[in-house]
Amino acid sequence: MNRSSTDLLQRVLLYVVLGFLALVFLLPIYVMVVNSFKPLEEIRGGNLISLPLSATIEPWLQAWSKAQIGVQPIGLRPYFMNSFLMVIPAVLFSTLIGSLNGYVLTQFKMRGATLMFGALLFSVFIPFQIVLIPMAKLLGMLGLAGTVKGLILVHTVYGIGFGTLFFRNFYTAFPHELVKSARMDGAGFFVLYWRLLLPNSLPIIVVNVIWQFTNIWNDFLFGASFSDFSSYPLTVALNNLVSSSTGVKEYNVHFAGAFIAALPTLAVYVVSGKYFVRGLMAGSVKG
Amino acid sequence: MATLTIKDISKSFGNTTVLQNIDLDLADGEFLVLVGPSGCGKSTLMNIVAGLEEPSTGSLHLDKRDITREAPDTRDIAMVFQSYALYPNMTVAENIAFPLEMRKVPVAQRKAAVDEVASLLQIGHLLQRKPRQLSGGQRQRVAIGRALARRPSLFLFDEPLSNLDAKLRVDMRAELKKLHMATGVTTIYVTHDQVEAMTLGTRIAVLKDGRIQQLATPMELYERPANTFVAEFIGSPAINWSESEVGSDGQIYLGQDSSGLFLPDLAGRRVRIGIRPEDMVVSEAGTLQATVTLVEPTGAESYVLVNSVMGECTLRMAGAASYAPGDALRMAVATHKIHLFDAQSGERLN
Amino acid sequence: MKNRWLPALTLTPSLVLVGACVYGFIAFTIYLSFTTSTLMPQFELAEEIPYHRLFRLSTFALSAKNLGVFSVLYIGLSLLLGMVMAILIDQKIRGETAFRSIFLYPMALSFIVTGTAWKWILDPSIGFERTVHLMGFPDFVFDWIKDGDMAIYCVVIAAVWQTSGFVMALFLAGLRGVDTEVMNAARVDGAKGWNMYWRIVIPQLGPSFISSFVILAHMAIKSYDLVIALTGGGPGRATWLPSVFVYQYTFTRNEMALGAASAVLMLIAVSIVVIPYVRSELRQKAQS
Repeated sequence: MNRSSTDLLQRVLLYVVLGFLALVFLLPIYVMVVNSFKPLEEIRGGNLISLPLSATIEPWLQAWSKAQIGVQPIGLRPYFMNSFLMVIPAVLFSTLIGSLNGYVLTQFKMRGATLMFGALLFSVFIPFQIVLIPMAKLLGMLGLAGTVKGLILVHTVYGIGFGTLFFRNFYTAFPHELVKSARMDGAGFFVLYWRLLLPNSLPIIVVNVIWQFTNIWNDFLFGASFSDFSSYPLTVALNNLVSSSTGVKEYNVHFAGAFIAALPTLAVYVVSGKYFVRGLMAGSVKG
Repeated sequence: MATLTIKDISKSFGNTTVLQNIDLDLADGEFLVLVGPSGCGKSTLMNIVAGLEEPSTGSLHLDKRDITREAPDTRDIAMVFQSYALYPNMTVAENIAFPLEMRKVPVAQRKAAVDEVASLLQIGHLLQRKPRQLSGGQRQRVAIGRALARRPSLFLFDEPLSNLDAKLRVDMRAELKKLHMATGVTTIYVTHDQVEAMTLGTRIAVLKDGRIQQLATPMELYERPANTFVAEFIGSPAINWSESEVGSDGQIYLGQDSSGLFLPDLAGRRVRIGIRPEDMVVSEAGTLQATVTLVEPTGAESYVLVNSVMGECTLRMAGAASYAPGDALRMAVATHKIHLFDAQSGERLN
Repeated sequence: MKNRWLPALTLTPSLVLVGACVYGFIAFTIYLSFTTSTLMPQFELAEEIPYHRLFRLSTFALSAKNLGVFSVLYIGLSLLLGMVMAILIDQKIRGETAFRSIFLYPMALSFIVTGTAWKWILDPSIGFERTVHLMGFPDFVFDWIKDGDMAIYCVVIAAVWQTSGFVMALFLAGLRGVDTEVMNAARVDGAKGWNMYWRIVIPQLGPSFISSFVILAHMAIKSYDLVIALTGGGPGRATWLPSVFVYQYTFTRNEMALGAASAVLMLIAVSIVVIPYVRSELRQKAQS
């Protein structure tokens, strides 16, 4: 029968199409990396996909510590630090709050629990443009305008929704018998949380950390609205670097800078693999 | 209607052999049951016959036509799955018509076939419903209807009654048997339930570890099991076992007394003796002494567990048993009802 | 007993924070959208409702039109490409993990990074057009990003690149959730290749479609970072979306009321798409 030869043709076609798509998907990152090692003349003189003829790390040095973004030519490094200082506490708080919320919503009968969860869930979907003005006022009143601390507050508050979503769904599936038996053994409110649920929540903690880290690190809107030149997160600094309309466009520096900005979240993605996907799926797929 | 010849079929996945040297010849209109414990390979054999898997060696012939490498849809075989596998997005009528649609049967003919099948299985009132709106029993009828509508040469049933509750299972068993009598289509039926096997099959193939242990009619399997596995698997409550040795005089003893079996060629051989519960009869003239440990009444019969020289045995008697734990009684066994097997190989000796 | 109040107490900070910073702020902004606010928030209600002014503004009409074009293309192409990729990957290919990782990694990137990379790839003087010139086709033209009419399609390209991997992940999970026995039954019944997917598998992907659609739609409405990085809203105002409009009118043109009004409209658009979805999620979770 010709079953096997048409099958073979189909398989070959399948891999060709997949290979082509893979190339298209890898193109931007390839372009970024390759061109970040070229001197400027080579970019202007050559094409985007060729490998560097005279590779140099100067664009990277520029991007990291010499480019002028704010007032002084100190590169992206300080803003990289800003982002870290902003992300770590925000992720910690959001994990803590999210897990407590998930715990309370699933292990205790509360009137209106569904409504409260719905309100928290919906907060994830709102266009954040709508809170910019009042939040700016609030930060001003608290004396946190234009500071990293202010950004931490903002990200924590708006991360509560997702954090609660992850933990609540996770704790819904937590074995009831374990909780009942712990209660009968005399475990109180905090003991149940701290000694039983939280220690067994590692998978969802990882998912939450990855998701919040990625979202907060990659955020631009809040960064652009609530920071000043000393507290820009990395995304805002990068955009300033790239979008400056004066002077020579140093494409290689832009690419190096973009890659520096992408590194932490890419690294997290590569290392965490399936946890990243679980974060994407949580709350997305029905049933 | 067709004959099916399964010749020397084997299947391995890497280093694991799932089926070994399966030979089966089905006559036209036969109802063959494949029975065996989990993992014996019966589902794999079904998938191979259906064309969902390819055998590692061997051949399949349907009515003299070699179908070994053919795709599932050209084999003219219909299959009913354990979970019914109804298409959730289609109505019952669309489900039943689907195989006909795939064969480009004209709409009018499809509708006629669907109506005919629906009246045969009494599901005419369900035709516009979706599978999720049906009960287990109804879904099963639809699955059977979908297979019937194609008028195939061969039917395959893969544990179709396993997901039904006990009473429904018994009712559907009878319905399936009546259906087979009415349509006369050659059928292979897979189950792990030996009662289903015994009541439905014209012949039964008992499988274990990928090999056919015995292929025979239900009564033959029951009365002359070919090895210890078949003897144990068929019959409920299970056969009673005892170990013994062939004496130097060729006699086999049950306790102190001779069983009546005489095998002079096998002196010294270790044997296993099997006696079915209904063949151990309480009798004053009996030579086997026993003490009652437990009585289990089931209404029509009672099972009496006793301790005797043969170890723990179950007796089966009609009606209510008037014994209590601790009572002593005497049992007798007819010689021709004793099943004798080699202790090592398990093969039948008498 | 203190213990009875503890659960509610624990939840209170979150409820207060979210209540204030989300719903309270929304109410605040809604109020502002009826006021005379320009540079700073004013609490005096405007004579002419800002929404009327908004609908007369050509910049807003342009933003809305761009959003329409962008959403339809972005959602449609992402769904199509995502589903195709999922079906391809589902064919028991070798290196499945590698392919999945490649299609999904853009989701880990900031839109600013994506915008930066694509900005130069699509730029005629150093990007795609120039590369094709250098390969020997001097007449090749691809300057969409500089063309007022075509620039929005560049945003579509970059956005589809970023999120179709996510759609693929959703569909792949849906595909793998289809009962194997149902597919076996279809094989025995004669369904093959395209028929199998079209009649049996894809109809069962409803939930995946809905989830993807909702997520994509809400991302489309909120798109901001990508536009800023890729085109800055330009050339001119050719790639303005309502999100850009809000920022521009609030912070640069000092027309806070108009900015607030368009933000409220964005919220309404998102709500229409998201609320039914959230409600059915809640009902489903409540049942389980």
